Amino acid sequence: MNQNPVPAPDFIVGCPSCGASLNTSTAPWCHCVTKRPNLVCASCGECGCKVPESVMLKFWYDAPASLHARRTAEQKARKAAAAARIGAGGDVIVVDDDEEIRLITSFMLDQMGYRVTAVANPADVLAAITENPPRVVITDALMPKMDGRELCRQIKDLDPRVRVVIMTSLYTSPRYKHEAYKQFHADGYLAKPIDFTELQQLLERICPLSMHAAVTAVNA
Amino acid sequence: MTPVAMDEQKQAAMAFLRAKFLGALVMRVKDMRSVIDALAVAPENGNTEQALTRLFHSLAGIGGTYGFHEITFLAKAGEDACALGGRRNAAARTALLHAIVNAIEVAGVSASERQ
Repeated sequence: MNQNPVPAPDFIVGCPSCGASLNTSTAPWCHCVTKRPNLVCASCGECGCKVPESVMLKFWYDAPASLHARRTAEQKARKAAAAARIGAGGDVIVVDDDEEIRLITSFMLDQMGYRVTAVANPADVLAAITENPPRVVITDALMPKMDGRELCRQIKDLDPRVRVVIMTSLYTSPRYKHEAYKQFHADGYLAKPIDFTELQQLLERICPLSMHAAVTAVNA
Repeated sequence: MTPVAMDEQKQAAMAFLRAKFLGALVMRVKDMRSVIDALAVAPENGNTEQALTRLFHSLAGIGGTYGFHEITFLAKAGEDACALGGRRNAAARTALLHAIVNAIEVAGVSASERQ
């Protein structure tokens, strides 16, 4: 009986950007903030995230099963590691393109006892969710780069345990709220101007401070 | 630190943030006036109208958050005034928008004096 099994051969596909040979076993993944990171080509340095969707669809259609299995396994490992670190990225991330909203909200949340980070770019939140997820994300609804509801959807896809609160003064119709809760699974909805008493009550419901000590102990 | 000292520190920090907001309000008012003047020249320019609406909308959300509810009230009035579109109402709309921005400026100055 052969005690040294022959290793599976490396599988080669064509790079979707330049067509050069791409080793699906060893090529690194890109760090673009997308749901499906792509392989980085050693020849052209591109990851294909910017090629037309039809090209990428064909690439993955033609890709060998081993590449699909590799991506799935690595995604599961990343999600499992991130799930174990829930709260390691702090309690709350505040996302708003307006600096003054970020300042006042961060200050008030800090006074309430929460560990807070404030960012202007929704992409920074998605990167944080992957690496060190917070417990809650409070996001503005209307931002230049991404709608708050879409951000909520992407956060829930990455880690459904992260709570999302959407704040807005524009979309106050019942239909918008219904969509935010049902379709995008938002956990809370806050009208602007912000009533910080209301915010504190909302956070106590979805992210009580008493959990902070427990989370800290688990992550230690 | 004693609770009294902590409360004083919190109040001082809040006062600093409010003063910062009121300082930035001056620039917001200046930006609004520029956009209103641009809108007066081209009253049917949708992009300019949208830009002005966003300025008022942003201020409406922030004013009350910092405790200046009168500024939120005036900014919401500004948003509504932006919706008075069309060439026929252009002059009246411009005058109304300037009046609202002047009121916002006065509200900001009053708030600064109260701080």
